[in-house]
Amino acid sequence: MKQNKHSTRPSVKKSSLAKRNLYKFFTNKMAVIGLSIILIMILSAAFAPLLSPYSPTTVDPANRYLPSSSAHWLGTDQLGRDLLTRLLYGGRVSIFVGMVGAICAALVGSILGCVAGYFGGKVDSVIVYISEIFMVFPQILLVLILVGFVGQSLKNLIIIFTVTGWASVSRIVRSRILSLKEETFVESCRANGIGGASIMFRHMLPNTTGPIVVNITLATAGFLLQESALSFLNMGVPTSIPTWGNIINAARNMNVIQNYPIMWIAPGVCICLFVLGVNFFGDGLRDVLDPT
Amino acid sequence: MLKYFGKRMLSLLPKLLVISAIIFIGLQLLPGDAITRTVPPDLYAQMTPDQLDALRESLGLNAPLPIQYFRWLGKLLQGDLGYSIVSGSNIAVMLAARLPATLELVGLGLLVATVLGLILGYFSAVKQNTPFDYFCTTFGMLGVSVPEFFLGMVVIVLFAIQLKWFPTGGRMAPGKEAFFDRIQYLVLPVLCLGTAYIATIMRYTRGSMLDVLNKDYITTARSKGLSENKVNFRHGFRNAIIPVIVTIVFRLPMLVGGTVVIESVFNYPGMGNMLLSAISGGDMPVVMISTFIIAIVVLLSSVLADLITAMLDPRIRLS
Repeated sequence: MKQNKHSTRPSVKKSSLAKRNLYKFFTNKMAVIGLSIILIMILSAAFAPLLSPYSPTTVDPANRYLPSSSAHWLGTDQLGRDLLTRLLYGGRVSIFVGMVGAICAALVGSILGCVAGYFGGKVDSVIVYISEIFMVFPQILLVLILVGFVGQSLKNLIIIFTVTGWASVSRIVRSRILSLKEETFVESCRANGIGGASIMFRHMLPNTTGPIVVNITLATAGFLLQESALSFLNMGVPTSIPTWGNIINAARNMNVIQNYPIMWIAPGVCICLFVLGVNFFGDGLRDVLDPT
Repeated sequence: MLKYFGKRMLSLLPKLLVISAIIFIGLQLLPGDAITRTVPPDLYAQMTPDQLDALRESLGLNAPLPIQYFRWLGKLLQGDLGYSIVSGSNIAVMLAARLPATLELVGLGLLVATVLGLILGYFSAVKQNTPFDYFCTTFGMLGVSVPEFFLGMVVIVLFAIQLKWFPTGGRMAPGKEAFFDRIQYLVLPVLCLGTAYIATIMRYTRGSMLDVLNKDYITTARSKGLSENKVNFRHGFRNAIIPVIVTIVFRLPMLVGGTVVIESVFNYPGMGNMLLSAISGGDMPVVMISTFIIAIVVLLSSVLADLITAMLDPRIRLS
């Protein structure tokens, strides 16, 4: 009987669902364009040391403000560093912070949402109440205040994104779990004497992966935007580490803004492109994974 | 209606209490003595330890925390918000100078974004799959993908430095403080602040309109021989707008949060800029009190939104 419960979905049908989903995704032109943009940017950031002969941080006073040339495709900045190299290395940190922040927030959010939805009652009201209070504050403000409290570092930023970002995931997961609770397979799990934790995390949570994955994708874009805004305000990643936001922040003086526009437009375009790619990809993913 | 309003306002109280308690605990966790935040710093420097102890007793700082909390809350309600630890000035006075500027920015941003978002979303849904619709959908995608500060820098260079249509920043020229003279300072910040919001509202309006236009009662309205405009507006839009208003308010914190970035880009003397310098200067009392004020504004506007939805949809206020 137990065995039967898990094999009611024949594997043949499963693979055909996956195939159908893949087909559905790859016929969505925007989603494919989005995916390609993200992949190209992630790969070029990941392989930055292979793609560029320069260092992103070594100052070279002899070569300041060089225009674009075959040696420096986008020219050099006010300290003589190759701009393209800095963009590649900056992408590494920016994308990393966004992704890891989104994954951690989703992890915490799904556990709390799952617990809230499954147990209901007091546990539920406490978690929902906390998440509601979190949602009253503008997220960027919360992040700023927390940065003020714990100080600027890469690790702190990811922790802060987790603390401030879990609420939306927990809401999604909770409402999903609430409706799953009425399903017969949960009842049958209980009748078979499976423990609460196992029902929650092994039987119910996997049924919410669709919306969670979509949320992680879109939150990556959101956190990347926030990181760049924070770095722009001098409150994000320490300025010694290049990120797209930090590169723009470094270009924040009237001389550079007016006379060397590429130094802030290029990182700005990188941010826009990546976020646009993620949004296209996320929307396509939502159509496939979370059709409701 | 009045009863509904009262009920919604009452439901705010526990939330405000919890938030204020969090802020109070946060203030207690700060380094230094609470006295440094209740006594102007120049006075504090002249006091002897004995005097300080007597003051502590008279201010009730030796009382248990819950009692201190309620006293603090009482003072807060009377408008005594404490002092900045960096400049020593009264926080209430600092806020009085900054809050109107930000409210102006947020209010105008909200107004412009709501009006434009609703109009664009409405026509984009009514004229689905036309070039106008494609333009709007593209804008909807771009608008949420461009960082506000980057957009701000682009428009400053384009419209303020190159074309010289608007000033690069600030709030007003000396001596010219009438609202009409200030409009030119507001155009660029409001547009940058509103862009992501316009895009969001537009996407939701479009989606909601398309949903509603597929409903049976729309077909009924059409079959009655009503004009297309009447069907779309009276029967479609009025129903489609309800979920949109919920979204507008739900995303309001996004607009408020955006002011921090926009005020910094445009050097606009509002709360966002004040908050930013307070955070980087470690002036936590100012930070927390301002955050509390922001939370109150956001909570109040959520009640306002509930009222508007209740006005539009009788089912809500009757249930």
